[in-house]
Amino acid sequence: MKQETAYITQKARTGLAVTAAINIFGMLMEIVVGRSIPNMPIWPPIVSIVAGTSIFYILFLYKFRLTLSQISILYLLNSSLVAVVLFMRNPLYAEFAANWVPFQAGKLGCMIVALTAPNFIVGMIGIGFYTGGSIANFLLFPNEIREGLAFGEPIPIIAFAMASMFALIFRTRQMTLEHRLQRSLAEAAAVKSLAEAFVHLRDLMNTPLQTIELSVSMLDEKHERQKEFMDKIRNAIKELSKLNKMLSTYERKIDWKQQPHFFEVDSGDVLPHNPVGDKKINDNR
Amino acid sequence: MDAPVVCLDDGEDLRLIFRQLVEYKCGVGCITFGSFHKLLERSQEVLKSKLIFLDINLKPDEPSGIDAYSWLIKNNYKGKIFFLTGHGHSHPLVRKAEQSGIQVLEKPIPAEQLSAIILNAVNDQAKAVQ
Repeated sequence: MKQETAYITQKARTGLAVTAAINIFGMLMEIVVGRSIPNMPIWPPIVSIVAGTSIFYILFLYKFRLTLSQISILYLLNSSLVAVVLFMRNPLYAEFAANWVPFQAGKLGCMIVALTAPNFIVGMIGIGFYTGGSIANFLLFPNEIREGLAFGEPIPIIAFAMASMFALIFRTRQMTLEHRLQRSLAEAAAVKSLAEAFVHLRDLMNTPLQTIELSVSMLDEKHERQKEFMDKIRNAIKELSKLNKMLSTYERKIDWKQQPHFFEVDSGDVLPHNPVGDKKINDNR
Repeated sequence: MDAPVVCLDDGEDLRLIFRQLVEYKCGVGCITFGSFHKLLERSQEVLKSKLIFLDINLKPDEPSGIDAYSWLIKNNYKGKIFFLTGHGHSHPLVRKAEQSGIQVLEKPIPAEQLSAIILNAVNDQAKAVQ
């Protein structure tokens, strides 16, 4: 469980770093693109860049100490800031930019969230920010601006939101499968090391057990009067043998090729055929 | 003196008690070895024996019971071979050995069962000679 959480958190951390980097880079582009638009406020993208840089700093500072919830909060903060910046600057583009294709950055934001969100819920909220911001922009535009926009809006932004949601579902599902696979591999590795430990344990206990068994049998013959005590020892051997049998079930999980000190075969892996064995197999077990 | 039973096992105490059991309960001679190299030192006696018990996993860095088995077959050993091992059945080489007609006895085997195996094998061999 701990391993699984660590795996998810690591993925979330990477996603947050990628989104923060896109935020910084995207906002720098935004400043460049918007500089020719009159009265375009420059402070929102700067705030967003500062936030993105701070997220990087936090990631660097607290690297492995950030929990999944903390990462999710930072992720939503980053996405909401970008969405707010776009919400504030879109009306000015719509009013003053010639041939402005509406809500391109919002559409791109939806796709980025689908690819980087730490989990499904955070992803849905992120997509909601971009889509909601763009639709709100559209609804708040005066009629003359709305009529001058590219044909079909706001359907394309909704289509992008839907496509991003499907991509998000697919990705989070893949992530879940990956977690399960990771967990199964970790469990298999644990069972394997347990099996190896049991093999060593059995190796240490089988010969002494056999020695006790044969010794008791010999003492039985010589000390008839001590039979009661011998029976007790024999019962103890039986109990230990049961444990031994139980442990032996784990041996099937052993990869013997990775147990170099067991059965070192100087003459190679090929066993010669036993001609005597063919005559009669008298199984006394 | 030739002994009909041979045992190769790295457990010193087990070797001692095994020999006593074979001699006392089965009434036949027994020689034991702690390593394959020691066994080779008395190869003539070993090859004349009727029955051999081989522990598979001997001391680290030493030839195993499977090496001893290969040597016996190479030298045309006529007696019966048993593997007496702590955990043999799951190992691929031991499974192969079982398929080629060698009995694998898993430790700890009850003394009565061991005596019976030895007596049966010695009697079978005696009948075969007659």
